[in-house]
Amino acid sequence: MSQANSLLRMSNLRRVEIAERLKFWFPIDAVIDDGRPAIEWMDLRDVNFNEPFFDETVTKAARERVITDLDMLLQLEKISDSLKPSAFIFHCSRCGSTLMANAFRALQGSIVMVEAPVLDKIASRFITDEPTNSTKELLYMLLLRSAVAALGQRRSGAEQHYIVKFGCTTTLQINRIRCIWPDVPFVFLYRNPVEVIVSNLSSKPQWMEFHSNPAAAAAIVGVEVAGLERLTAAEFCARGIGRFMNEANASDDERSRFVDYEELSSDKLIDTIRFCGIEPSPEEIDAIRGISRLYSKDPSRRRTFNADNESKKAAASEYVLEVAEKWAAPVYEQLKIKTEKGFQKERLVNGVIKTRAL
Amino acid sequence: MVLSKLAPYKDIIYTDFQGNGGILVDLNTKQYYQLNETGSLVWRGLENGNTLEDIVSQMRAIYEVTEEHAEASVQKLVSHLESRRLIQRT
Repeated sequence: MSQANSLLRMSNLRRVEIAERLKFWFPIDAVIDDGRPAIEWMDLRDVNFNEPFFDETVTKAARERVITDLDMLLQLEKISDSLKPSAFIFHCSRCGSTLMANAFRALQGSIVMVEAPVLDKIASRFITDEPTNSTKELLYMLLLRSAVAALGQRRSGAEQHYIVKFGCTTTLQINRIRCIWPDVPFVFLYRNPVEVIVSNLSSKPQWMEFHSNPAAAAAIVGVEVAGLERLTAAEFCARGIGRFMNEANASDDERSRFVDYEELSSDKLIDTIRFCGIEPSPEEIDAIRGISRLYSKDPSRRRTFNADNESKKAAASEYVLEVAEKWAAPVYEQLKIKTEKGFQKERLVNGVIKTRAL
Repeated sequence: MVLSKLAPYKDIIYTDFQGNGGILVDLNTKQYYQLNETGSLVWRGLENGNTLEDIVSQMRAIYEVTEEHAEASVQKLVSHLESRRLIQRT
């Protein structure tokens, strides 16, 4: 049994009454409670999600947690008033996606949810349960939609934009997510694979701890579970980011925007926000310019950002260069060409619009 | 066919995603069901308050089926839905 309070699950309240009580509570995690999948909730109605990551906000809030059955997400979606997502952020890990999220956070009336565990855990069920074309697949899609709705609940009434940034492994579910929200634009951030691998090896993220969930890990990199043992951490990472980039590349259309870490500037951030249909005010633009000078993962927002591309490349071993080249470099090059073409197209379109205006 | 209206219970959630069919979730029993394309058509008709006759007509407008075939299909699905307490007569 989880340490959290299971009062709501055990109580005799009707589901509708429980859902009413859960209004303005947020699903903070998907857990197993008494052997059953469940949702952990926290009352965060007065909390601004200003920390770079969702988990940091939850830790800081440090409030009572309650557990309900999974279907309470569906019940809450029926009665709550939530914003439809304005944009999704996908990424290949360690590539500036937190900075992108922080830029969205600078917009007045924005809700920005960054790597909320409940979303990435539901999405990971698509990997582990292989439910393609099954009722279960639809159920997970429905649960994912409800979880996104629960995190996007209106609290003050002044909310206007709702941005969801997923964990990097959820990029593998981009097609399903777009099936649920076909009109919502998405941004995919990527970076030179050598730099991403070096960064991940120096500070290992959860998704690379492949012994904790071998089935999910094997699916992420596209090998059998038995084959995991033969992979080094560097190869695992290279295969993973290669697959994230490939999946995003395959989903490219008029509602997608690809952003290379190398070109990540305040202008690029603003341009990407505009691509998502949001026009920042002059004050918001100033705030975004300020944010782009800071280290994105520092909750205190005091540390300045220093580009580390060259130091990352210099730290790469021959082996890292080799696995990066084999598993991720080809798609990285494709994305770079795509991004450059996108820029040229934009310049052309802008030119045409200006000519017409004259 | 009996001229009566059937409507979903309020604790039923129905959703369809592009090209993936539809799913019904009964929040009371926590059972879930998948509906195919024609099943989704029937459900949406019931949600919109259409009679079974209306739904049969809609089905015949979309698919090349005889009235008997369409009526039998709709009746069969409706019986299933009723027996599982997903819809009720109003």
